[in-house]
Amino acid sequence: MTASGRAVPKKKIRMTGDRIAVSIFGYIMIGLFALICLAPFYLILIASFTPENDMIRNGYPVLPGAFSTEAYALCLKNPMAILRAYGLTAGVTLVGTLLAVFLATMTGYVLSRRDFPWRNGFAFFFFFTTLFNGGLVPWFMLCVRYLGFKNQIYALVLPLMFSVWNMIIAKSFMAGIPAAIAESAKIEGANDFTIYVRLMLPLSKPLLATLALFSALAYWNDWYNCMLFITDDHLFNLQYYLQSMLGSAEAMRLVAEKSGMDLPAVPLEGMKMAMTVIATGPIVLLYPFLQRYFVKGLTIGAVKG
Amino acid sequence: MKKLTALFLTLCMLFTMLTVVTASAAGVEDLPEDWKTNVIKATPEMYPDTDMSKPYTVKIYQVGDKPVDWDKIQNAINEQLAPFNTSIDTVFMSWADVSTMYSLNLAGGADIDLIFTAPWEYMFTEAAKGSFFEMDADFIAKYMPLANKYQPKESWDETRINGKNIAVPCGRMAPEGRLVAIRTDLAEKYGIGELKNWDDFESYLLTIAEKETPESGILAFGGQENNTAFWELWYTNENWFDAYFTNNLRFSFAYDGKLPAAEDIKLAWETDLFRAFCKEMKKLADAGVWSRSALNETVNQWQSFGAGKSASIEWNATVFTYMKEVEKNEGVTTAAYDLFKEKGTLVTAEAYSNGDIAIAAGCANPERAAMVLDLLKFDTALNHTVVLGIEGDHYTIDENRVYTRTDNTPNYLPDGNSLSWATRNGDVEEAGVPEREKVVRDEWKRRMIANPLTAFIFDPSPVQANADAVDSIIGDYYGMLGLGLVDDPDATLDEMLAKCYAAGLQDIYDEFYRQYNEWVAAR
Repeated sequence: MTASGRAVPKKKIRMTGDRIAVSIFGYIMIGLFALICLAPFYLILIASFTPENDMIRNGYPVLPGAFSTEAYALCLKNPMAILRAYGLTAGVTLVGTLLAVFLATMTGYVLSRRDFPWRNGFAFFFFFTTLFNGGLVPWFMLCVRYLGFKNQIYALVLPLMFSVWNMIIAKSFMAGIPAAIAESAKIEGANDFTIYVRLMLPLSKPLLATLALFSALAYWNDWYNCMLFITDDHLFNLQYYLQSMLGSAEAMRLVAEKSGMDLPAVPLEGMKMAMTVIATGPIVLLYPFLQRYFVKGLTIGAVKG
Repeated sequence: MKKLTALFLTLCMLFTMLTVVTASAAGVEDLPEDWKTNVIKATPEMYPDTDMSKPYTVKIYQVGDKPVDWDKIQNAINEQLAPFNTSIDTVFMSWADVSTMYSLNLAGGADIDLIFTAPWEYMFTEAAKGSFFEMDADFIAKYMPLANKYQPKESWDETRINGKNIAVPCGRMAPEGRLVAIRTDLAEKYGIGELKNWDDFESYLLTIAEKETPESGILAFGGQENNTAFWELWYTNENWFDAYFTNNLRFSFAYDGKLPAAEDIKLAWETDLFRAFCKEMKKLADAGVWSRSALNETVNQWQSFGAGKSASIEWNATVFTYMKEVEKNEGVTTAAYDLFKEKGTLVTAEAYSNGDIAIAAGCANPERAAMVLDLLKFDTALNHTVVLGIEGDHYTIDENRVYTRTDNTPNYLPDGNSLSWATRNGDVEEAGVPEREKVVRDEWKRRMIANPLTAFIFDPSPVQANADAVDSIIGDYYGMLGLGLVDDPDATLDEMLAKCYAAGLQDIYDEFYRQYNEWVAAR
């Protein structure tokens, strides 16, 4: 657009021979790189449908050979249990993501306000926890003995609810929003919370999408908190449920060895692959829709010149 | 009349008191001596010192995954514990998590009363941290009268530290022999007969490597990690026992019928036997008996044999499980051989302490927990419920205590969870064991002997830093040496030992010998 407001016509770049060659080379290299990135997923998918003994004898196949669904049959042996784990994980992810985004943005907004007198002190305390912590045993004691985390669903939500990293991203982004917007709203009579909800959040849509993606990934992939605090199998989340299935399969093999029972047809290697497909499938399918926000999010917290 | 009534009532009261006294006197001492053939029925009166006035739930932590029918079993146990105003509630720490959760649950103040433990499951490390309730003889006599009467006396030594027991071991000693299993279809193809010793087995391995592997790709042996399997064979062949074995730190001695002198106990990797073993393994590796990438192999030797990828397997009676697996393939036949039968080498007995139950130090009611443990171990009905399941559902049993599996057995395998490992007494036997397996086990029982040093517990904490360093060094070399994947076994072994001594191996020896001599003197 020129200073007078007229649109500037796009300059068409003439494709000379060397530009064409560079483009072709670029596309080939990036295409190869993309294939290399896709290769592990391909191998996992193929291996999940390969019989166990074939994999032990011949290793992981590159080309599909013998076909078997026994790994999936074992993983999905108890469909209600896996559906319950899916539902619980989806619910925890949704609630946790909303709370995580809300907390990170609210904290980030407060710390981005230059008129907040103790912001440096608070920022230091937040940052300090990323460098040092009390250790696993004191944390476990606090959660189990004093906060009553054992076999409670909030044990899956609370530990991941606040991330200092997300808060820093939010703080940096919101510091970039002109202060005049908040000042003018204050003159109009808005309080701080109204400014945050009705002005800051709508202006921070890329930030919200980015933080939502980071938080959702963290909640979806979490198995550690389930391992620490949950022993009731009705409260197992998806990742831990699948991991415990693998543990059970290993145990079945161990017990069969000890007891001399006929070895159960437990396709351990195939099971690991099938579990990977089941656990990551939804995320892989969701990712293309959130990709642009992720790319933006990589730099969204960067300091601008 | 009034006087007669008073006299009558007094006599009634006296009679009642005498009856109660008589019933109380029908205590543990009146139970039969042979608990393996008699039914032992415990009653609350056998625990006069245990306060059962309030209901209490004993929390038991097990390792491993929950059997499918565990809830049914637990309900059946709780029904039987009802007269004792007690119940149990169980938490399972799965195999995948136990390395993190075992210590964390004990240190983090989880609500634990009883917990499975074993030397291979943090027993001594947790005992050193004070995680277990220490039971003296008086406590055991008062609160575990059945165990006090029936638990094999020698078993208590295996869990006693400084005069107190940190855990109660299982009541069964079983032979832990070693077998090799081979593909007899391949042996016949190359004119190889019965295997009677290591030389015959070596000949089989070399023949398969030379003739079968190039043709079909089947390896002679699915060696991986560090080839401990073959070291166990060599070591067993010479009647070697372990004095201490944790990770890679293994102190062993050749058993000659008496307690060894301290200086005869050596780091296993420093012995002439191990040196000869390394050279033999190099010979087999160079002949292609196992893959050159065996060090990175993730498929273990049992899976390899079961899938038909390799032609031999070595371990204890579990080889029979994998033999059945590979025999599902057409044309495949197998046989298992005890390479030491002719030589008559000794068969180590699995230690009583291979499965134990400890009372957690944080237990709110150790007396009640001890009573529950006592009942689960020696009340016949309760013990069979834990070890075998529900009669008629998971098993049937005859008057000789020979049990048979049912269609529902897979949902609760006999001896299939850690609580059963710690409470089994060896009083039941399974029907229908294949003849080839029975012959082997009976032969082992004939040559079975308990390791005389099972009760010696070396505490490495005074030299812990040295022990960790030496353990790490050995870990770096053991795999290569065990699989023969070195150019010069002598030079590599010398290099490893030099590093071990530089890391303080002599200090470990000195501390070990000091503790051992003290233990011998105290006997």
